[in-house]
Amino acid sequence: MVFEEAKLIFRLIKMNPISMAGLVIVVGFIILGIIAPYITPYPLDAWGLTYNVEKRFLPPSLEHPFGTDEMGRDVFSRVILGARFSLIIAVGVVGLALLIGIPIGLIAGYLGGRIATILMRITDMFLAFPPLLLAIALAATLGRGLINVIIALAISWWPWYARLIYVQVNSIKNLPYVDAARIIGLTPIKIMLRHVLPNALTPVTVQAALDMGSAILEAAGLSFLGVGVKPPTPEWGLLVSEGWTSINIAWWISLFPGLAILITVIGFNLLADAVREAMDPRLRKAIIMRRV
Amino acid sequence: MARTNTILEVRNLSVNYVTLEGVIRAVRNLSFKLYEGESLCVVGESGSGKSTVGLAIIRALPSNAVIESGEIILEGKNLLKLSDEVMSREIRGKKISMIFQDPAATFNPLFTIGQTLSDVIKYHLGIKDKHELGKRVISMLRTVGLPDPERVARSYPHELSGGMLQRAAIAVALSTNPRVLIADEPTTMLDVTLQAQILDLLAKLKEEFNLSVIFITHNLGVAAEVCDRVLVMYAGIAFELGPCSDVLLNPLHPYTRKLLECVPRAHRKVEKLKYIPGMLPDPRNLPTGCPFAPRCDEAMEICRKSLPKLVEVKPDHKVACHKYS
Amino acid sequence: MPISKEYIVKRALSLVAVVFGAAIITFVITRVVPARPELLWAGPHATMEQIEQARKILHLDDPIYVQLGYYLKDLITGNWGISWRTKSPVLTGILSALPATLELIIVAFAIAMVIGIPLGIIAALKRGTIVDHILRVVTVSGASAPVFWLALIAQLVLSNWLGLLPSAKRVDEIIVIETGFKPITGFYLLDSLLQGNIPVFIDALKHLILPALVLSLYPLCLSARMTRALTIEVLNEWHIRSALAWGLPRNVVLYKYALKNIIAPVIASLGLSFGYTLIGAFMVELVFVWPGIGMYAAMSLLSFDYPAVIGCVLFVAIFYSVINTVVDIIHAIIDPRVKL
Repeated sequence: MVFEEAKLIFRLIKMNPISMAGLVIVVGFIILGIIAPYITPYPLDAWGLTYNVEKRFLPPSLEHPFGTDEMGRDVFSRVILGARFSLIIAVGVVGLALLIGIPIGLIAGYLGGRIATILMRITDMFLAFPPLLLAIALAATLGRGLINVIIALAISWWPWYARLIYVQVNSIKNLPYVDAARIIGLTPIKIMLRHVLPNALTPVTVQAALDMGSAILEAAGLSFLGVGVKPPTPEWGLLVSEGWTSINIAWWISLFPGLAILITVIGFNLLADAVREAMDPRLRKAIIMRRV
Repeated sequence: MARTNTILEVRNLSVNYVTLEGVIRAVRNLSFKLYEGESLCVVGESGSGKSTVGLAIIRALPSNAVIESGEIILEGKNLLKLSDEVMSREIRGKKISMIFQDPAATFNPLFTIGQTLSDVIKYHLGIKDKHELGKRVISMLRTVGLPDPERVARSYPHELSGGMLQRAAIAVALSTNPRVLIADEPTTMLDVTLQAQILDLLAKLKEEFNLSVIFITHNLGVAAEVCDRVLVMYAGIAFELGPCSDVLLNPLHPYTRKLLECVPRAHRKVEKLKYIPGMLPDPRNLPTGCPFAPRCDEAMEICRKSLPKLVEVKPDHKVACHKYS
Repeated sequence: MPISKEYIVKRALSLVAVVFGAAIITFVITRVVPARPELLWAGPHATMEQIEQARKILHLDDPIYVQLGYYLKDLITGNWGISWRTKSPVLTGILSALPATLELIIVAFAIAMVIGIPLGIIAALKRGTIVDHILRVVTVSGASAPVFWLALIAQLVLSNWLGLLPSAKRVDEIIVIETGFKPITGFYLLDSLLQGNIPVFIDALKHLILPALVLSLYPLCLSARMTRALTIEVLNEWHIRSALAWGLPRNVVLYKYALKNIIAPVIASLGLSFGYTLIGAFMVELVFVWPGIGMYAAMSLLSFDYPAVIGCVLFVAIFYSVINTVVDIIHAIIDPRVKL
């Protein structure tokens, strides 16, 4: 059933070139993130393990398409490897946030009553902070580092997913087919979970996958503010901030990593738009009528 | 019923909807006349195109609708040739008005009933004085039988029940003194007792305001109660058109006959509920020939080949069926 | 339209509860999570005595609930700690930086709404055409751009390379001294007008425009996309169709009815949009050396000034909650369906 949905959505996406572009960018990013360490032209540069005085601040050229930075490292390689870190962060943040948020939302939605109220109140307390603010506080407390960034962002994100799941479960709980299942005599807990759960999870997981773009943006922001990953990790946000001091003489150091963020997040946003439109019930009707 | 004047005539109307997966031909070559002072019921299943007819007349179709051909003549003018501005200024409200199926969705949730009603009166009759407007609003609401018009006027749509909202909708539609009222399934979403009340109200107001009514419904019982003449539609074309009693008691078209057989009678014992086997044709892939042919047990060779035309078989009783041509 | 006093009281109480919750979370983050909170509070250059002092100030030898008690008392009495970077109280530092940030955010937000909402409506009305597609690409790009990078590039190109606009601070000191400008409210645009000081007004405007534009991009694109989706949805709703069917003129239906149906949800979402703008302000202020809360926080982060950072976080959280409450009340005024 889920695969039918996916095929449908894919067909709709193919019809729109802009949406297709989004899909291509996202897939490209994921592939790049996976193979990055193997394709960097200057791997040592990429990991930040070199210091070449003679090669400092070289403008973009054939050997160094994105130029070199203040340590003489090839910016192109660093940006490529940065994709791997962005991918790790994106998957880590979203995965961890889901891991925390889904159980909480499920329990609250399913049990209802007092427990739900308490859990949702706690969720509200977290949501009182604008996005990133809580992460900043956490990151400042925990210190810099890849894992800390992931934890900080995940902790500021899980309330959204918990709330989403809670609302989903609540609305599904009251749908007629759930009552029908109960009437037929299906044992409440286990089989209800088999009916309620997949339907509740789908929108949230789709949302989460598309949120990966925002995770990349926020992590970059943290790094720029100095509470993100530790140097010399070639995370895109950190790369931009590293180029800041020399921006007047070497604009390429900050430009290209930022461009990488821009393009990647555009890809996710375009895809998110396309998926959202494809899941819109009104568009569905048009397709379903053909089946009939 | 003086059936002398034709107040509205639809000629060869075809309306299509453009969707992602193809073109839906909702109304095909439809022609009928609305006589002055009568109630014409347009009857059909969901998807027969009946609602599209109403929306086409008043030109309030969704954005993906295309009026492919035809004419709609009101007082000698072809409405389809008028610009939207002229339609809005002269026709909608002034000459033709409409009420819809879902009374709760008919009103803008952010405005009170009184605000909506007074806006309609203000823009149509040009009355600007607040007191005058207020008086008319209250009087109109009282005319449709709302017991506490002041409260209704102050209320927002979500604060009122379906029955009250539908009455209010009728008030708005009739506040501009139109000559024709199109009622698109006005009782479908109401329960049976309310249904009866609304139908009574409509009948009363029809006399009072001297209206000609196009009543769209899928419910034959409602049609029987309300109409002077009946138009039976199926898959976008007209199957039968004639006086109510004639069509419902002596149906000529096989579809109409089958439809009537399906209505359960309260006084007769029924073992199984009757139904018409098969399904409506896919609107994107309409078969050549009569659309009912696949489900018709009197279908002949010619039925699958060509579309039957509406011909007058008895005085003022037309049928589109190859049996009669 | 009508909202009762009870509703406002309810929302105010809810606000207090939310702020209390935020304070609790901040407490947990700053006292419970770290192994040695006093190290964070004293700062990286602290001496042993300063660290001991921090332990005492934070009452770290007392049980947790006592700490919590002191913490809350401190919050309410305005004792938010001393920033060891500026050597002055955190709350004072924040409040004095507030007007600069407010001016920036208000202008940025105004730009975002004034341009974004009409753009969204245009895109919806011209749905499917080239204009719509171009707008879609533009708004998606704008919403995907990292604010700090945009600020850097804008500053680089427009200030450093083209010299069109100043690159830092709020106003040129020389002009201020020459014309004897004195800030009253802290809103330089307002103050200069009040004093009839046109040179300062123009100068302040020149300094404001670039950071404000950069900051406005994200909420602009967000509101444009949202407005577009809403407009399409609203225009297809039955009540719009019935309003037309009853003969109301098209422009009345569009500008009086549909517009209200569109604006109401947009206003409801303003709160979240504002939240993003607040955080964006941190980065924009840092890049443009704009002396607001954002820069205060960013500088504190860069120098590991923990009390100042946490103070900013708490302040922004409270501010955000207040804004959200106000937005909710406005939304309830416009939309009668909101449960009171």
